[in-house]
Amino acid sequence: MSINLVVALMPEAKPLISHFDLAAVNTRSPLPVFQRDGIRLIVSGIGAAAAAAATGYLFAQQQQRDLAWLNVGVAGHGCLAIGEGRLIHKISEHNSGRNWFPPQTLKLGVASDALNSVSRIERRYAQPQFYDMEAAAYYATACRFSSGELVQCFKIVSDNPSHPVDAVNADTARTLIGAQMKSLDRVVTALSALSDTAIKAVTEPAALDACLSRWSFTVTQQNQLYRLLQRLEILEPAPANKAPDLGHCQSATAVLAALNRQVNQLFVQP
Amino acid sequence: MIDHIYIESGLREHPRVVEIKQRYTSATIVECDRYGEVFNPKAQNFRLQKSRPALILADKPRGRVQQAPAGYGIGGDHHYYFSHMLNCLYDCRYCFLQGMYRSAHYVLFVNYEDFMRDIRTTLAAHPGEDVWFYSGYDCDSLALEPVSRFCDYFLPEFAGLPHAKLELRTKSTQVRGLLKQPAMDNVVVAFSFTPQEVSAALEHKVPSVQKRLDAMLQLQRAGWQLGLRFDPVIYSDNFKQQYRELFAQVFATLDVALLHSVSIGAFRLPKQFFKTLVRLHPHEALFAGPLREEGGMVSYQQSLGTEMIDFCTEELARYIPQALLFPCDYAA
Ligand code: SF4
Repeated sequence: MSINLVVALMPEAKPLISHFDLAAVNTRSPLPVFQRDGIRLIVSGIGAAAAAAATGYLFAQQQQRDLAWLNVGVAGHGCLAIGEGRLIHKISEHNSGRNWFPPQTLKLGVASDALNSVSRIERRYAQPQFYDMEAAAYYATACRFSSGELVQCFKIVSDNPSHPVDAVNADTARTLIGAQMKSLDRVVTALSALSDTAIKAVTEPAALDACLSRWSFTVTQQNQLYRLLQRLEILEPAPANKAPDLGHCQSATAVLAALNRQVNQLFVQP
Repeated sequence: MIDHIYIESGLREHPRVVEIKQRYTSATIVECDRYGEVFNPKAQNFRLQKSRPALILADKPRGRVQQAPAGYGIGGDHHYYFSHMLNCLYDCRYCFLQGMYRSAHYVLFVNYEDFMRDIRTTLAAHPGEDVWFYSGYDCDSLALEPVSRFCDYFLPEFAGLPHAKLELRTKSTQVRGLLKQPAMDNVVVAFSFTPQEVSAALEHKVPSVQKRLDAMLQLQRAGWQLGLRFDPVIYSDNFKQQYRELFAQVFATLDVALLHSVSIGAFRLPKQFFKTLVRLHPHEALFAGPLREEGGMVSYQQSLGTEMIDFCTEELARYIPQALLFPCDYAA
């Protein structure tokens, strides 16, 4: 399992930390980070800048593309009842007028809704949608590191026109998120499985490291080497596939020529 | 199954949009300003999205009728294509749409009347001449017919334009829309085939060869003109046997005398599209095969490509007259 959870406040994070049994890492980190078995959670603080910074920080810790990302939090809503949870299929940034549409590829039967990211606490709830302060910045940042299908938001209604935001406190947030843990668990599992599919699709050929450490390849040659080794693995699957015999090669160019010959020998000419 | 439908806000009340919404009452409706907001963002993965594509209902404001690439045609002098849809229900590993678009969502342009107006204008630029219009360039013409109702609208329109020739290109068996209308002299329904083994390995969700042949037979009996498209021809160790068997199966089912055209072309892709496809499917054997890149195109190594096409051409000559056969050498 591999997923990054971005949460604005500690009371929202606590049910997740407890459910996934996450442990605090590196107490000197500028932001609280918790982790276990591929699940990492960062507490960003409130607002767009905080969400973008936390997302970027978490990526910088891992440097891994196509990881799954999930922003979890309570939010206002124009009409849904308190406690309802939804994935988000449209994020509008109030200030810029920009829209994002996180592709909904998870087959979970979890309903989805639109969200408006605002810069001040929303009290009018003009539209029948969620209102939060982080999702747009989080999504735009995370999409620099992962494909949109892997970057999702799950929001839980904490306030609406008949239950104003002023009544929301740490306890409410903790309780509301805790009550959605079953859905959240399913989203986390499905999203990280999707990310595993994307990451697995780019598994490196087994002989790559050995070649790179023995001969000196230019960047273009490294790409050629990667693909030739990959083609050999595909065309001659295990157990027939043995490490290519390149011991006699004096240079990277000779390695590529030998691999090319080896690949071409695999085709039965008509 | 369509779970999410994105609709351009200006099309909320469009009759085709209303009808499609009624068909998918449990789908979540998401409004957007322009379809490109959903379809074009960079951070999308065609392969991940293909597991659950959404439907986008949009308006095509311009560029509705385009000149077809050189070599796309099946006789005649003037060739155009128009795309009422982008993307496809099926999932063929070699499909160039994966290289062309970042999103696997189906885009349906619902302003059919505008398409038809442009088709008439294009036709009027070639007075008294036959002009071909191809509908299956950026999609499968018929696969989403129950939703698009393409035939219901376009066929009666083409019926009044004898010089406008329409090719529907498909791998589907969705022929009900055609069968409920009288056959038309200016419409060719072209079915694409690879051998069953190849199809099972590479053309995911595509009906079997026999099912497609059964659909063709129904159309042929109803008087529709049919085309056969052996494109792309795919290499395997025993491609000769595979194609021999395919041709035998096809021509045992169909009446050759009633065929409109047969075309054949080897697997080929623009280099950039090929790179994208390899990135999406790095372990796909087709892309690890005996291919070469030349002039910005990736195709089978010269001798192999020629050998395959020559073999298939000779085999086809056993069943069809030369005049029916057209080589396909256009670049997608
Ligand atoms: S049927 Fe045609 S358009 Fe559809 S996926 Fe296959 S090649 Fe692409």
